[in-house]
Order: sequence, then structure tokens, then C-alpha cells
Amino acid sequence: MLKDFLKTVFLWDLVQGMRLTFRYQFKKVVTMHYPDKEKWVPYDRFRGLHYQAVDEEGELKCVACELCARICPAGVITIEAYEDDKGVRRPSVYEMDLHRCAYCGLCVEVCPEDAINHGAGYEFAGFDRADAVMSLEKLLKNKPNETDPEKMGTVASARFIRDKDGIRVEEDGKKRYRWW
Amino acid sequence: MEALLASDIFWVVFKSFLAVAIIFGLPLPFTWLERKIAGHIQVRPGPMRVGFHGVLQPIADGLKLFLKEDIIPTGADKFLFKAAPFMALIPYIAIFVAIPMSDEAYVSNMDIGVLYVLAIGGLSIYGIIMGGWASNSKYALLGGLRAAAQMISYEVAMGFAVIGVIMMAQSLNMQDIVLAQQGGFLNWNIMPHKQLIAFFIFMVAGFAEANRIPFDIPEGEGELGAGFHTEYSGMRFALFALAEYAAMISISALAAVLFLGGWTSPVGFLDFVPGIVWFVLKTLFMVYLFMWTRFTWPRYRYDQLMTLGWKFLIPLGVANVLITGLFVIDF
Repeated sequence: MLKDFLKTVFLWDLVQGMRLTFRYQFKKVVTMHYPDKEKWVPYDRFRGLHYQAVDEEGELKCVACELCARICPAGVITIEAYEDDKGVRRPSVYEMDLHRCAYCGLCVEVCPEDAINHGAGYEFAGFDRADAVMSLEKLLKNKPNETDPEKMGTVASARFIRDKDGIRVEEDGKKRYRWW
Repeated sequence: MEALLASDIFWVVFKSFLAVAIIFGLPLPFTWLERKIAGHIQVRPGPMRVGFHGVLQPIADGLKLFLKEDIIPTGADKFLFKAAPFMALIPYIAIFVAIPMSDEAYVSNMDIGVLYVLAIGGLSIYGIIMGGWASNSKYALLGGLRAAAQMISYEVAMGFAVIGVIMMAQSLNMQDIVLAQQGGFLNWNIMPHKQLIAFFIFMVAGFAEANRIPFDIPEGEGELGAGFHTEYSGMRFALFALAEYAAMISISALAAVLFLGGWTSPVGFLDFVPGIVWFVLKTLFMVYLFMWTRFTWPRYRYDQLMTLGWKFLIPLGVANVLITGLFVIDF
């Protein structure tokens, strides 16, 4: 009874809370310093920016069957097809308006030629709405360059660069750690 | 007489400017400090991008607030609306006049220092009530009224806490109160055989006076928008924020003087360190306590606040005065 009264008067519960927050102040900060110093390298399974795959001869895999355009719930993909000199159906226009894309991965799943794929990219903020509309040329460039599964799912040290080629965050390869 | 006037006036003006500069200058680094402490309590770094570890962040924020439009709502009482932020800030600068930073560094050594501080400190509530009233907004008005009720409740408790200290020192003079605590930390008023309970009451009431969490119900953003400064923007809003920090600094300095031995050193062999260093360290510790508390505790509900004030703190304060009286009395 008296104990309870004293606990109320001297705000004992709150004092316990203060002990906890005091200890927390000396814990290691969990923030990832993106984009200034660090950058996240996604896993293989990550559904990032799409890319168009090419075969061993450097030929586009896509045969413009338009299955991806049909299955896309948001109508992201626009395809116009033509017949090339070997008599194969190819896309003359393959555009993805990524503003509408939900990264559901249906286009990747449905593709019979494994042509459209999810890459690892997640940095495509732009100053113009046209920047997020991916043409065939842009989609070919998006293939992720990280193939080492050991390096996937890590935080890599990086630099923030702002020059005439635009703004980007590049890994500098100095440090790499798993965040957990 | 003439010679005395010229140099005296110079010193008074100089010291006053210094006091104002301190009160105006300190909130900038303190906002940074507060956000850093908030960050580290929540296991994140806080401001990091403007300058080294974000030290220039408050300057960027100040510039932003300075450039913002100063909106006066239609239907507002223009004069009161404009005057309120200054009314909230100036009393805390005036408080600083009476606080001795060392045995020599003070603006004014009044014989009724403690009374002066309590009286002037109570004035700043007018700024908040005026701001709440003049805004012509229900949220602002409710915030102002809450501030008034809170002030009335907690000023009493604070008064009782200070009476204990005055009884120990047998003087209202701040210098005398510090001198009564001389001779190591065992003689400080915070020690259990001195005025620990009064210190506790003083700090709780101080949190309420400064409108800081857990007693920031005049702002109460959960239920009142932003409380009394809902309608304020730009520089006038910044002045209210400044007043909050000035209040925090003043109450911290006051606590340092009344309970932590002011400018005296905690242990005898550290006496060579100048008194002002001890004063600043103690004040900083109290400021840290304010910030640490802010990011630990939730806000009190209005009725809980009143319960704590009237049912616990004031009876405790009265009991403390009586017990102190028993021990101090010279049989």
C-alpha cells in the first residue's frame, strides 16, 4: 500500500523507462546511410527494375508474343512487332511505363522465352515523367551486374555522385556488411 | 556619484546584452542536441547531412523559418497576436538576469532573487494565453486555457519546493543560497538529508512550467492541432519555440543554483576549476535531463496532470516545508 503510493508519487514506472532509454543511447545506430555512404545490394529474388535478356549471340530473346502485355494488370507494357530478316517476330517498340507498374512479376512469370526479367535496380527517380518510361534500349541496359550470391543482401559502402550525367549512388567496394 | 554612474551603466548594459545573447544563441545548438539525443534514443543518428554530423542543421532550419510567410489569420486580434510571442520569450530573458553564474558573473545580485525569478517566470504564461486568445481559433484558445490551468496548479507546487531551499539558506538571495551549499556535493540541496523531495517537486513543476513533455498539454498536438501556436507561422512560431528552449534553459539554470550547488565544485580538490564551468556543466546536465525525459515519457492526460499537481505534489510540498522547518528550527 505504502509502496504503491510511493511508486505513484515518485513516478517509478517512468524512472524505469528512463533507465531503458538511457541504455539505448549507447547502442549502435541501425540506420543505413543511403545515399551518402552506403547502399543496399538486393537479393537475387528482388523484383526490381525490369531488363530484357539477350541470348549467347547477343540476339534479343523477346519474340513480341505480347503475353506480358496481356497479363499485366496495370497495362504497363506496350509492344509493336515486326518480322526481321530471318523471319522471326521481334519487338520494334517495347515500352514499359513504370509509373503504373506494381512489380507483381506476372510479366516475368508468363514470358515463354525468359526475355523479360526483374533486375536489381531501384534507383530510377527522375525529374521528368518520361524518365520512368523504359524503352527497349533502356531495358537492355538494366541487367544487374552483381552476380555473386555472397554479395547479395548486403549493405555496401558507396558514394553519392552528382555530375553532368545525373545523380546516382555508386558502390566504392571499400566495405560490405550484412545489416542483421 | 557621476563616476559610479558611467561605469555602472556600462556594465549593466553590457551584462544585459550578454544575457540576451546567451538566451538567443543557446536554443540553436540545443535544437541540434535535442534531435541528436532523440535519434540515439531511437537507435538512429538524427541530423547527419548539413555540416559535420548535422551541426549546421539548426541554422538551415532557422533560415527556413525566417523566410516563411508570417500569416495573421482573419478575425485575429492583430496587436495581441503579434505581441504574444515576445511576451512569452522576454520573461525568460529577465529570469536570467537574477541567476548567478559564478561568484562574480551575474547581472544583478538581488536580495529577493528567488521571489523575482518566480514572479517573472510566471509572467510568460501571458504570452501563451494571449497567443491562444488572439488567434481566433478554438484549438489555440483551448491550448491557452490549458496552459493557464497548468500554470496555476504547478506554480504553487514550485513555490513550496523553493520554500524548502530558502529555509535551508535562511535567505532569498541567490548568492547566499549557493554559498549555503558550499563544501562538496554532500552539502548540495539535492542530497537526501537536504532537499531531495523539494528537488523532485521543483523538477516536475519545472517540466510543467516549460511546457515540455510529459506536461506539454498546452500544445497537445494529438488533440489540439498544435495548441496555442496552431495559427502561428514563420518567425513568430520560431519565437515560441525559442521561448520553450529559453524556459528550459532558465529552469535548468535555476535548478542548478537552487539544488546542485550553483557554481561550487562537487569535491574539494577540484576547487581550482572556475565556478562558471561547474555552473555550465550542471545546467547542461539538467538540460540533458529535460531532453532525455522528452523522448522517454508519454504525455500526461489533462486530468492526470491535475491529479498529480494538486493531490500529490502540493501535499508533498507542504509536508516537505513542515519537516524542513522541524530540522531548521533553532531550539
